[in-house]
Amino acid sequence: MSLNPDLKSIDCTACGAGLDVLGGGRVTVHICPYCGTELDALDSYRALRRFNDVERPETPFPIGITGRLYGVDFTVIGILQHREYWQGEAYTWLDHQLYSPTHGYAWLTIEDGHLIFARRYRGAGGWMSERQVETSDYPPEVTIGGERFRYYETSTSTITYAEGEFTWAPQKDEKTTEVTAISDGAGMGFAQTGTERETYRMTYLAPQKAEAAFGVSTGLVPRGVHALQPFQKGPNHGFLTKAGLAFAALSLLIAGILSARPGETILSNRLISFGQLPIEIPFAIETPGRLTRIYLEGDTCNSWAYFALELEDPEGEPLFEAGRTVEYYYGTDADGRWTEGTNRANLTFRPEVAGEYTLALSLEEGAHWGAVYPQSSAPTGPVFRQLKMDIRNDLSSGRWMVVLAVVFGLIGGYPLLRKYWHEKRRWSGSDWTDED
Amino acid sequence: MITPFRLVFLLLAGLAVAGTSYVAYMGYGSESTDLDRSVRVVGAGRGLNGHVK
Repeated sequence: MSLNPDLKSIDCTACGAGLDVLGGGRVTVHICPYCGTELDALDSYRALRRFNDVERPETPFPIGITGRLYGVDFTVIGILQHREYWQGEAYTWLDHQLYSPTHGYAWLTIEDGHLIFARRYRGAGGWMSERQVETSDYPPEVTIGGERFRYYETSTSTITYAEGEFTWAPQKDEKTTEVTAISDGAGMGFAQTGTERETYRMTYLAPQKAEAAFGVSTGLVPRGVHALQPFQKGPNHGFLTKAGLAFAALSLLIAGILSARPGETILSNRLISFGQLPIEIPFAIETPGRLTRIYLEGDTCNSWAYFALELEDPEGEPLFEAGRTVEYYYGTDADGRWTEGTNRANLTFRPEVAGEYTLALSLEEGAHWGAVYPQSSAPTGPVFRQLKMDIRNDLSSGRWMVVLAVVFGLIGGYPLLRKYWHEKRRWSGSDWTDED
Repeated sequence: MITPFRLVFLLLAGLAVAGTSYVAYMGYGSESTDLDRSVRVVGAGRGLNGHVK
């Protein structure tokens, strides 16, 4: 922390306290921090009015402290506390008037533990009025200096505390209405006090930068995400996004290729009629240890059939038992034609040795669908006429590649999700509602 | 710019793709989960005492 070495001082004409004069030629009033009297800087520091009757707010940036921000040496010359009441709650923020002999005046604001740097904007550009906001169907936007700003909030505040030097005469309890619009990296404040209009350009100041600039430890604990707070990309933001999504795409491609592998045909288009069941079907496995799948395709029609399958290995030892259902229903209702179920089923296993296996297939249960057929005329014939069976060996599965693609997708999407979440929180304080 | 973190990430990602591709090619973990193999387990028991199936 350092104080301006070129201090001049006066004595308060009301209470006699010594006051440092820091603020340059455009200062018009000086408010004594000890007695709260507003002194006229243009008329021998004549006492104008008493200002403060509230407790002095705490700040890590007292009057007289100097710091180098954006390559410019600034001195804090005045402090203003604002208060706004909105929806039954009071919001308070603290403005610090900064002065640079070479660059003029600026503001450093503490709001919810965040720091905002603001300067008067004198360039060409638009204005956003409170009335424009109230009559607009969509959040108003304005382009200033090639940058697009979107409406964020309207605040009407009063000054509750002031001390130090100012280029204008703060009026206690005088209302100032400010419309704020923000872009990705900055904000514009359109402030109106009475008939006077001022435009400010605001940027977020990281606490570490302010601490380094002024040589103080601010002790500020930022609450939430500020509307002007830029998204902090991690050092690998772009890399993780690109690499994650690229590997996800590669994984999906491999999953597709592996899933489409036809493998080796062991049994093709074997037709089994209802009357042939139960039946034993031998088949030979020449490539053991590879994924093998038995495909069933029935012709049930508003009926279902449950098949029992038992597989024996080349030594006649049972490998497993399983059951598969094929069922298919159709009809029409108020919504039109509908179908349900499938005549296809399959079963996947891994034979460990080469040789001739035997599949025992039987119909365990089956029935026609009673709701379609009134009991008196329910069909009594077989629940299916013909079953087609195929067996393929040496198959692959894309399942784990899809899982890996999801993992890579999450890795690639996480930085984007962080940015999305940051933007959502940044805009969460906006008072715009679509019902306006 | 390739940093050590990025290099390790690319290596691990490449290994993950290669390893998972092998597992997917072999179809490990894709067998039907409802196969009742208890007949086989008991079959092993039959090899021991020849009575229980």
